[in-house]
Amino acid sequence: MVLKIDFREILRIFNERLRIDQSIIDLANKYGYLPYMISRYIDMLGFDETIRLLEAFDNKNMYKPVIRCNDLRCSCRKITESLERLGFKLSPIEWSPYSYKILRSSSTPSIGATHEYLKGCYYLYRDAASLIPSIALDPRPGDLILDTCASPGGKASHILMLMRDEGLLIANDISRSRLSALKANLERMRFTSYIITRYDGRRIHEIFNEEIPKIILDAPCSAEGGIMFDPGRKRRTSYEDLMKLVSREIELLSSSVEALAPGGYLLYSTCSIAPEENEFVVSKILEHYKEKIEIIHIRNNIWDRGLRKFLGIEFDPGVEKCIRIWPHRHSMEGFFICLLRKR
Amino acid sequence: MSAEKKMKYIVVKDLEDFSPLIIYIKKLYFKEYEDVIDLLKKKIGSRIVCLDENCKEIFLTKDLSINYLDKMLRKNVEVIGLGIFIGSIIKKRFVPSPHLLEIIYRSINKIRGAVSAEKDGVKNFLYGKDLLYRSLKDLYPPLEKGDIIAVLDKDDYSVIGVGELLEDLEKIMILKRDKRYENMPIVANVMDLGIYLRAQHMFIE
Repeated sequence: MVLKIDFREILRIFNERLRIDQSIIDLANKYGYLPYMISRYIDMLGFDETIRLLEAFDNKNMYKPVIRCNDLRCSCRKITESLERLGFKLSPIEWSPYSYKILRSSSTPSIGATHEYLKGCYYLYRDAASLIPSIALDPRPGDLILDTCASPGGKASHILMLMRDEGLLIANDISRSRLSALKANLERMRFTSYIITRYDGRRIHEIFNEEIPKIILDAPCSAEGGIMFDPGRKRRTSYEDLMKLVSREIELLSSSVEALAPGGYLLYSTCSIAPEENEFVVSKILEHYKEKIEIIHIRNNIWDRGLRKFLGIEFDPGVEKCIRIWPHRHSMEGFFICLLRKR
Repeated sequence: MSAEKKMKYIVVKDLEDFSPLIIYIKKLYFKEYEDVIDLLKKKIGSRIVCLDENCKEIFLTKDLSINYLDKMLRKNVEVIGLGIFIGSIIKKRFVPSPHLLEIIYRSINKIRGAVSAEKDGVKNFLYGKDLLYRSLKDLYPPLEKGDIIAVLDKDDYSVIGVGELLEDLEKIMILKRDKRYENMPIVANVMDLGIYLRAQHMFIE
């Protein structure tokens, strides 16, 4: 049965542990944040490292857009040579094949408007962290994979490339406008092994009952890891709003667990550094499904591990196997990635 | 096996039974059309899917996708796209997609019913403009006035779009040498890859 927890209940759990004193309010005012956010950062990182995180969120130049070559369609060498001729400076990303950071851009055309882009030779990301979830899921040719919230298609197209466009990817989303971007991206890149569907991810178990061997759920989140790209996020999401997202994330993840075949793998990720949306969500799922679900160690985690403790709450010990990306430590958007397996 | 299914507004057919595509391929490849069909089946699949009654969007896909398509439709899931977009029926005429034509050209290694364009022509065509005589590079018959043909980038032979040919091949050969015609259109733009920029909301992740 799908796990649903009312946001008010979650809010109560965290609210009673949140401590906001004058020093936190002063720091929040200095950097333009809501005080509850600063309070949580200090709990996770301590005061000095919180300052480094806030400085990293204010320094957009630290982050570089990324392209991932579609080697099924174009030669990666030719793409990089062509882009360099146009004035772009690229640097390969060691941990992600066919992926390059754009260190310097050309004034015209923009990286999202070159002929190579229109021909489907590469996908454009605003940051490298988005590459990690698809790699962690480890797609193989011939796999059947569900991407529960697939738009705009960065992970879906990456998965299809790793599958060598063999097998089937069911790329689902609920937002019609975002689905048009997903469709355009998969069409542009000329993949063939996919179906795009529109359905509420919280009810995806109504379509698939324990039958999908690999699922990726990159959940719609508060984007608390992407403040460098959206500074308005510093003050936009109240703690109550955050808890509404947490409630939805639990439901989304639970529905995907129900759709997952026994022995199958489920990759959960968010572009948020909020433990409420990450370790807490995963812990609640583990608690609900007990022995049916376990967290799997992700190979080649060169980043940080999940947090065991937050605001005095102890999470499931397995969350240490998850990946945490911190902007100030890894010069990437904040991200959380966790691989689950159904027994 | 002829298997036409009608599910709500979605029509599924076998590739050989989808006459608009067969007629188009026969016209380009004559006796070799069976080789083209076999290649399409091998590379992509043998099932044609229209997501609306009028076949505004036509897809080619494999049996595995059809199994899941059936399942989705039984559960009232909206299907937005699948397989590869191969074209549209516009004013009762089959308009192939650049995607389909490129797969055919690359698979069979023979370009038919196409023209290639110089650099400025490629750029302008991708902006949704027509191809002009001065940007015309090579011609790949059969080419008849009124045909829907492919426009290729001369640098890599990728199909950047499709358009309606505005003159017959013989006349083009003559007019191409006439300076007075250099700024006149020869291929009217019907569909080009620039649509992925013009029609799409950009969600960068």
